[in-house]
Amino acid sequence: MFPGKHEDRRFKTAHFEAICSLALTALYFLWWYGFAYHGTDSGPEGYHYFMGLPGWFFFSCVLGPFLFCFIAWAMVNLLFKEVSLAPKEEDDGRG
Amino acid sequence: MEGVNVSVVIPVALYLIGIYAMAVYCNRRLSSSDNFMEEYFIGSRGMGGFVLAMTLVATYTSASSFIGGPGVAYKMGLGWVLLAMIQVPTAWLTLGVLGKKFAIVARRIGAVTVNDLLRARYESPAVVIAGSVSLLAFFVAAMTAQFIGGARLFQGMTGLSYNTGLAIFAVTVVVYTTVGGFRAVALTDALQGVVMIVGTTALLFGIVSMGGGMEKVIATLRNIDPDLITPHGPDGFISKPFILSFWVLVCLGVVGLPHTAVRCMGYRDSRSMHGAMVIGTFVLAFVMLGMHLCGALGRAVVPGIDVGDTIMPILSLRVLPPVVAGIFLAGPLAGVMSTIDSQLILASATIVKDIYVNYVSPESVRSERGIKKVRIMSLAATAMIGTVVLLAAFRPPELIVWINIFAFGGMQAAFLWPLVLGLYWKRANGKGALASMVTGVITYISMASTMKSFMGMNVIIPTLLVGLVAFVLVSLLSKRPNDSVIDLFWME
Repeated sequence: MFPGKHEDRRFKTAHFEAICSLALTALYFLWWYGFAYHGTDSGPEGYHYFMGLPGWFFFSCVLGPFLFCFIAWAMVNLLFKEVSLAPKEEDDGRG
Repeated sequence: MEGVNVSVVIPVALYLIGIYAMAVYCNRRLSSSDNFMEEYFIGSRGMGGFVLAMTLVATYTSASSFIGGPGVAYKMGLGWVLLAMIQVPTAWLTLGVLGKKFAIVARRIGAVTVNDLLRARYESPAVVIAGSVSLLAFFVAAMTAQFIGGARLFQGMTGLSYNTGLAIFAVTVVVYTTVGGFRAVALTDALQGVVMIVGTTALLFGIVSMGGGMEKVIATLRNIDPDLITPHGPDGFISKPFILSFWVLVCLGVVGLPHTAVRCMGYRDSRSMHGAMVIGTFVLAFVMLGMHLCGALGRAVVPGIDVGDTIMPILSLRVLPPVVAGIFLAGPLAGVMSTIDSQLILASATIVKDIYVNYVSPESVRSERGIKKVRIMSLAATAMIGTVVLLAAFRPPELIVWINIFAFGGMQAAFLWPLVLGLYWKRANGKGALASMVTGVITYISMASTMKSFMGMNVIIPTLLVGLVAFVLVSLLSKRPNDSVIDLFWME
C-alpha cells in the first residue's frame, strides 16, 4: 500500500451495511424456520388457524415477510448512511 | 385460427402497444446522449428508487415464478409456498451486499457490465473471457426457457398457436430491447412490475371468492390431502435438506447473478438504493406469496389439472372474467419479458464491450468512426442474440423449469465468488477467481447432468463449496494483487 493513503470511509460504510444485510437475512431465516417447523411435525390435527390459514403458514409466510419489509425499512433509515457515489470521496457527486 | 379468445387478446394487445411506445421514447433519449455505451448498457446510471426496485424484482421474477412455481405449488400445497418465500431477502441482500461499493467502483472505472468490474479487480483477460463465455452460454439457455414459457402461456390463454404466440411475444421483447437499450428495459420493467402486482391481486381475490372464503378453501384442500396444508408436502417430498439448500440457490446465491448485479451499479444515488431495498422487498414478497398461493389454493377451486405449466392459464381463465384474465395474462408475460430483456442487453454488452472493445479493438472508442461502429454493433448484437434464442424456442425442449434452474445455478457457479470475494477480500486475485470459475462451472455441469441431488440437497451446494475452496487455496498460493487494485477497491 502506498504511504499516506487512507481507506475510503464510504467503503467502510458499505462493508458495515453488507454485514447488516446479511444479519437481517439470518434473522429472517430464523423467523421463517421457527414458525414453519415448530409443532408442525405431528400433522394438521393440532394446527391453529389465523384468517383461515394454518398458523404455521400465516406466521412464517404471510406475517413474516411483511414484518421484515418494515424491519428492512427501519434498518435502512437507522443504520444506513447516505454517501456520495462519486469516484472520489471529496467530490460532490457530479464527478 | 379457431378458438381465439378476443376479450383476452385486447388487454394484452393494449399492453404490448404501451411497451412499444416506451421503447420509442427511450430511443430518443439514446440519440441525444453523448456517451452511447453508458446510456445503452446502463441508462447513464440514472435509476431512481422506484424504478430500481421494480427492475430488480421484475428481472428476478421469471417464467418459473409465474408458470412453473405456482404449477408445482398446485401439486405440493402450502409447503411449496414456504419454499418460494425463501426469496424475500433477495432485494435487500443483493443491494446491501454489492451495494454502494459496487456503485462507487463502477463509477471510478466507468464500468457498464459485471465483467468490466472483474477486469478491473483481477487484471486477467482469462477471467473476463471465462466470465463472458459462461454468461453467454447460460443466458442463451435461460432466455430460451423464458421464451418457451411465455409462448406456452400466450398459447394457453389466447387460443393462438404456439408459434404465433412465440413470434408476437419474442419480437416485442427483441425490438424494444434493441431499440431502447437499458433505459427501455428498466422503464418497461417498472411498468411490468406494476402489472404483475395487479394481476396477482386479481387472481388471488378471484380464487378465494370462488372457493367461498379462505377457511372453506383450506378445508377443501385438507379434504383432498391433509399433507397439502403442511410444510412437508405430499409424501414428505419437501424434505428439510432439500428446502434448506434452496436458501443458497434462490436467496444467498442470487447476489451472483450478473443481470441482477448489473442493476446495483446503475442507480442514481444512495437514496435511490435505500428506497429500492424497501420497495423491492415489499413487491417481491407480495408477488411471490400471491402467485404461489394462487397455485396452491387453486387446487381447491379447479381440481384435477395434470400438466404443471398449464395450471396458471387454465386457472385464470376459469376464475376470472375474460377481460380481467387478459390483464392477468399481461402480468406473467411481463415477468417473463423483463427477465429476457435484461439478459439480452447484458449478453449484447458482453459481446460488444467485454470482448470487442476490450480485446479486439480498444481504439474504437476513441474515434468518431469507431464510436459509430460500436453503436451499430450494439444494436446488431442485441437483435442477433434475440433471433438466435427465438429460433431455438421454435423447437421447444421439454421441462423448461429445469433449464431455467440449471442456468441459474450455472451463473452463480461462475460469478458469485469472483464478485463477492473481489469486493470484500483483499487477497483475492485473478488466478483464484479463474480457478473458482472453472472448477465451479465444471462441477456444476457434471453434477447437474449426472445426479439429481447431492445428499438430498440441490447440487449448487457442493458446487459453491468447491468453487470457494479453489478460490481461497489458489489465491493464497499465488501472488497478492497489485497495490493499484487495492487502491481502486479500498482506498480513497
